[in-house]
Amino acid sequence: MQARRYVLGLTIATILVSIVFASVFVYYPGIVQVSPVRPPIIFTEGSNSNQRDLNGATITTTIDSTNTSASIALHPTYQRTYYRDVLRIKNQDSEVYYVKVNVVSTITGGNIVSAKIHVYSGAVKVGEIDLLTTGLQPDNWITLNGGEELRIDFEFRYATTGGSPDTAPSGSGTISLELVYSTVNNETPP
Amino acid sequence: MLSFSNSFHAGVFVSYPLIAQITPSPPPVVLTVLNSPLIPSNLTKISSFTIYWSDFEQVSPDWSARGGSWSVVSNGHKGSGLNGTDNDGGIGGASQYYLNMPLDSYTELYVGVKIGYARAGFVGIALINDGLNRLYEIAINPTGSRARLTIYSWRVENPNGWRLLASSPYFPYTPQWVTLIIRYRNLKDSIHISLKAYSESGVLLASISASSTSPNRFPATYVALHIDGRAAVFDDFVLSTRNPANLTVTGLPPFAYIQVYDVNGSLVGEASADVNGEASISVVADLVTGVGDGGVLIITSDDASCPLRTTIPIIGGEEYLVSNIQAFDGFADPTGTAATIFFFANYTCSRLGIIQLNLVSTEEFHVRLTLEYLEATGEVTFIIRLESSDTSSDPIVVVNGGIISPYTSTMSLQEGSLSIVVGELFYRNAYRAELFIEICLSNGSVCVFYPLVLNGIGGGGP
Repeated sequence: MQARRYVLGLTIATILVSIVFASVFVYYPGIVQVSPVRPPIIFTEGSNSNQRDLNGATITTTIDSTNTSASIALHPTYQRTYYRDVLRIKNQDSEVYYVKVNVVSTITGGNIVSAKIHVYSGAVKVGEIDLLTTGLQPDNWITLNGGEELRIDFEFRYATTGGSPDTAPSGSGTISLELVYSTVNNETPP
Repeated sequence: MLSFSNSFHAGVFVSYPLIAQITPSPPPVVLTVLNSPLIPSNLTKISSFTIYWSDFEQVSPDWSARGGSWSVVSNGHKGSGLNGTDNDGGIGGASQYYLNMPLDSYTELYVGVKIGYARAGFVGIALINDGLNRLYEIAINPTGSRARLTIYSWRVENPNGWRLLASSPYFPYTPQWVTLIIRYRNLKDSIHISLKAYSESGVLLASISASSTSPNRFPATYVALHIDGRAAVFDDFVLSTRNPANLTVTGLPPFAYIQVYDVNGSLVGEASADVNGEASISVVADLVTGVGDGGVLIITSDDASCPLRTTIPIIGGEEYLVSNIQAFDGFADPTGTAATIFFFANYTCSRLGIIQLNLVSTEEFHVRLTLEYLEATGEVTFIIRLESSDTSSDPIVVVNGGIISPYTSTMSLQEGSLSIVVGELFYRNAYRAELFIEICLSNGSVCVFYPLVLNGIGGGGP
């Protein structure tokens, strides 16, 4: 009789311990409806995309099939070289978006003194990006209204130190950028 | 609830990759600074052939009358002149107005004079002996619509009267300003006199010469204005040991073209320089340029015309030296993409090429200049433009320190070169002008900008 009491007690204790340490999983119905949309902001060619560059080269503007990435090849020379309208950023939505450019990596060394992007909305300059300084620029978001587009100009300055009329200035390389846009203009992107 | 609200208002951030591949290239256009020409800066007289000159702007005590009435009148050749009216009261029954300056020491002389309003009689120059009682009359003798040149002696060949020594054929004549050039030589066995007459436009009308071998011949002691019958006006009198019909200018660029103007802009004479930069200019139209108050020399060389204003009298027969200075100096950047120029003096020539833009690619470019900044403590005036071999741009214009037009028009550079040309540069104090040369591919896809700095030092004016 005593033994049976011990067995019963152990059984009850085991059940109680099991109840205390077991996880509880509760499931409520929740639905994330993912519906990819066409990109509201796209790259398009400017009037001088793929036009003549200096010394027989071409201002090569390559835009992928989705118009969401672009690559530009430019061939500046000494002093100041200005490329007008080599790329455009188009808002094909009816809503307003806000635009910045993130300079991810840039050129260092050589004769390069400055490199800039000038952003125009029509004839009005609405933004300037220093391509030799990494980070998100400009400080204020550039407004891109529905259906409108922005014109992208590039400007370079190269010093003449050690140069000659027959040689190109030093300071070549790749500047990696990100076009960042948002539906709001009061937050910093993560 | 708060969390839900944040989610509701959170922005959407999207990023696209954008790559810029930069491959610098050599400059498509290279500039060079041109060599500065020498520009005329001053005119000096380097000879002393003139014994005496007068433009008869006022009565002078240097002269004395032997008969006649003599007065300064306003209707001279440029300014005033000396009117003489014969009264038969002078030597030989004529009238003389002689220069009170003995000339016995000279064995050779030239006399130049302009004569106007002569309609009759004998009008010209008299060479008179020291006793003032014998003379040689060297004259023009108008008669109606024609005239002739004559050389007479009085009480030489004919002890008691006139003797004609030489006479030219008659030539057509209307009253005008005639220039007489007389050469007198006292030779061993004779007195030799020659006379040339030029029309108002400088055309030779006639010439004669005569020798006086009479024992009564005399060395000229006095030279006189002479009139026998009627009246005339004399002007531009030059007494010289060199022919006053021409003057010599040295210090010119080889083969330069030179023009002499009076201060009122009337052309006096013009000529081309030889390989040594020396020009002989006929000034029979105005033996004393203007009224003896200087003039303006226009010197044209290498397509540039430079005016040189002088206030010294420009007298026929004399030699003048043009002094020149370097207009500018400058240097280009070793890459040929920038330049700095220093101007040393005002530059009033028609054009001064300072820089050449040389195309080194096969593309067509459009070029223009822009004046970006001007710093001047005093007045500064200049124009700058682009030039090709056959045309030029509209200029940048700065007047009295004010920028009237900051841009040139655009010019095409497809082959060869363009020049940057400065003109009408005048400044009183140092200045600095910063420009850039805008060079764009013809389709406007890319532009390069070269800096150009102009500095004005020295120079200046009163």
